[in-house]
Amino acid sequence: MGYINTIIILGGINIIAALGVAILTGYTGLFTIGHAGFMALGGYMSAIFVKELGVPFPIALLLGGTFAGLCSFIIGYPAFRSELRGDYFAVATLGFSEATRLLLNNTRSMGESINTAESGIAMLFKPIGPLLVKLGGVFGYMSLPSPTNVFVVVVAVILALFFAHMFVTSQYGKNCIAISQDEVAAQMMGVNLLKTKMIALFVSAFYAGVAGGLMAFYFAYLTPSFFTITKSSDLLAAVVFGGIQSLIGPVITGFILVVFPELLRSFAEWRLIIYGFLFVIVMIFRPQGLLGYVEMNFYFVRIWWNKIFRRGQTSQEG
Amino acid sequence: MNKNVQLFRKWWGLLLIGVLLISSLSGCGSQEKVLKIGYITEQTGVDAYVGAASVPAMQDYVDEINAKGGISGYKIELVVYDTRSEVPDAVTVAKRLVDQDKAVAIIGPSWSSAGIPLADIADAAKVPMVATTASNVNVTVSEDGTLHPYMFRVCFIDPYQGFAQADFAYNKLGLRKAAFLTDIASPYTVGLHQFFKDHFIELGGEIVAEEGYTQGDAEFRAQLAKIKDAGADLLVVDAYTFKDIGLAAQQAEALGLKVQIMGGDGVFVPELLEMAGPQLEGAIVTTGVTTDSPDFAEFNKAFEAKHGTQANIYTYYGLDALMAIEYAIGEAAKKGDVTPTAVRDALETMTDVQLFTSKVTMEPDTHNPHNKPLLIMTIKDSQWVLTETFQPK
Repeated sequence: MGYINTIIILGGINIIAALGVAILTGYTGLFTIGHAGFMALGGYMSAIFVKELGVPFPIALLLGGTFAGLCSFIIGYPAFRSELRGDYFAVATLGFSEATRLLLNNTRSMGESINTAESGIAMLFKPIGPLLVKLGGVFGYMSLPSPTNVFVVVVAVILALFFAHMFVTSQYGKNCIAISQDEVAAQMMGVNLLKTKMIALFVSAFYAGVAGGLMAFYFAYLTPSFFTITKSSDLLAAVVFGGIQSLIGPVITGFILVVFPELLRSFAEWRLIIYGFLFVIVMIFRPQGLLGYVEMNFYFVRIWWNKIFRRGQTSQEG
Repeated sequence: MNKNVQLFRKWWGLLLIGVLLISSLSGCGSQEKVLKIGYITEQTGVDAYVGAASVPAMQDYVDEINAKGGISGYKIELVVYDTRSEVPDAVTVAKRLVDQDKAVAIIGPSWSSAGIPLADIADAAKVPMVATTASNVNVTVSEDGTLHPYMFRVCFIDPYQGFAQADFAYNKLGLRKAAFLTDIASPYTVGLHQFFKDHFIELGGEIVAEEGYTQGDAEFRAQLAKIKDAGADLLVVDAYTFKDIGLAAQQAEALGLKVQIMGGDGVFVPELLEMAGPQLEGAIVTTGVTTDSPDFAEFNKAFEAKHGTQANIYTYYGLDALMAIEYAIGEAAKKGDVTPTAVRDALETMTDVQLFTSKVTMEPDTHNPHNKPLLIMTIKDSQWVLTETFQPK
């Protein structure tokens, strides 16, 4: 069972991060190739909360996600103020995530020099010196607890999907879609571009942060090399491959992208070539992604609910 | 378009069915007594040369064992999984080896970032794992000092190599001003840097420059210029990938930087000489095994003739790990109990067992091989020349 569980867990974590990217790229039209950075921030922060401060695991996950969300403002505010769009914003996110990773690579040596410093600006950081050493830089943050299991991940995925659905069907979500269709028109209709984009980025980074936290507590070990640009581009691929303006698409492909390389194991070295080839084929035949503009809905749940409780009428809201 | 889509769907379906069939077929086994040994390696990604040089040799050796009738009647099957050089993939395949393949022992991984999380998996599943070149201390002994009972390795650890390098540079070469070019994203490189530095300063040497780069960088001129200005007489490039030291040497020559270059066992592969042999003239590389020892000449020749690729240290470490497991399975079979736990017990107590490269005694309290000699290699006329064997005191 452990192997199947591993695939479900890694697939589930990928789904949560991909949902985050779907909200930002699929719905708001802002391309990102830096979500690994938010995963790293969320992962490290929730690990610190659990290991150093003894915060319960679910709360630490939410705090880690919130921390990643708050950090997203560092890049979001200046980028959206100066109206960076499309590729330019993508490059900015890439820079942010690489900077995050390089900072994490150096936590140990930073911590050591702070611990031994006797004057200057380093004194300000004296209290966090020992913590930075513990984070371990490139050696990784070791001996974490590992409460992540299939149950936790499945619950997290269901909650993540539910809240993502609520978000994209809310007024905020509609504003996001409006921005992705036409920014100028959206602005003329009274959509606050800066605020809406910041909210989308916050939610998106929150999802990535939670995914990073789950990952930390699954491997019981964190190292900056988990969060390279490959991770970011995999997430973007899940969303583009799964479909723009769809939640169910990225969910399915987010999972498939983890499962497929495993299924193809019998092809050994050829598997990544096949994997890339399938990508090209899908992009040629379905440029909008497998489930582009196909929206999941909960009609069926509502219908069942009404049938069971004999309310008699079905609501038209999705 | 519609027709295309239909056609595409049909093929897609067929392909999926094909894939499922093949993966289910590969699960069928024969009725013989077969033991599976897993090998977690890198066949794709930046470090693909690790798998390319080790898998064929290990498969050959397994075939040889089976041709002789197996280990005490048990046939061996080598199950090789690729990790794309990524840690999550290494974790997934480790779980697969433990659960699906029911491997009796696992070989790998070759790098420490994967070795650390994998040690927990080995402990939890009670399947022994023998790392090949994962040299970070925390692979077999966790941070708080407790031993991972199911994790072993056949290479020496970073502190030892860094210590020996510093000792050799200071005492034998008489160098006093060291500069570093370090891959800040690699625990191996950073570890060696740290231990080299500590011992070098302890001896009385001076560190004049510490420059960093990250894996995949190809341009070191800025860092090398700084090192040149700092007046270093020793440049330490303990890279994990041979390309880094090769490129650094080429660019150092272009800049007119004349220093003694030193590297670790990560770069001890024949490809390095093809890449930058003339530029690395006189450079020193430390390693645990050498491909140039006359003992291996015959093996190297046969290997190259058969597989069209040169053997490197990963071939040897892979074989070392495989032979250690072969020995342990043999011991376990003698007691009539070939379970992963029995194999682990035999690995822990192995004493003076002849493996591929040398005789190995496992230290029961650290699971590292005891006192592996360190070889100092010098590059002369684009060839490796063994200058000295360093024995720890």
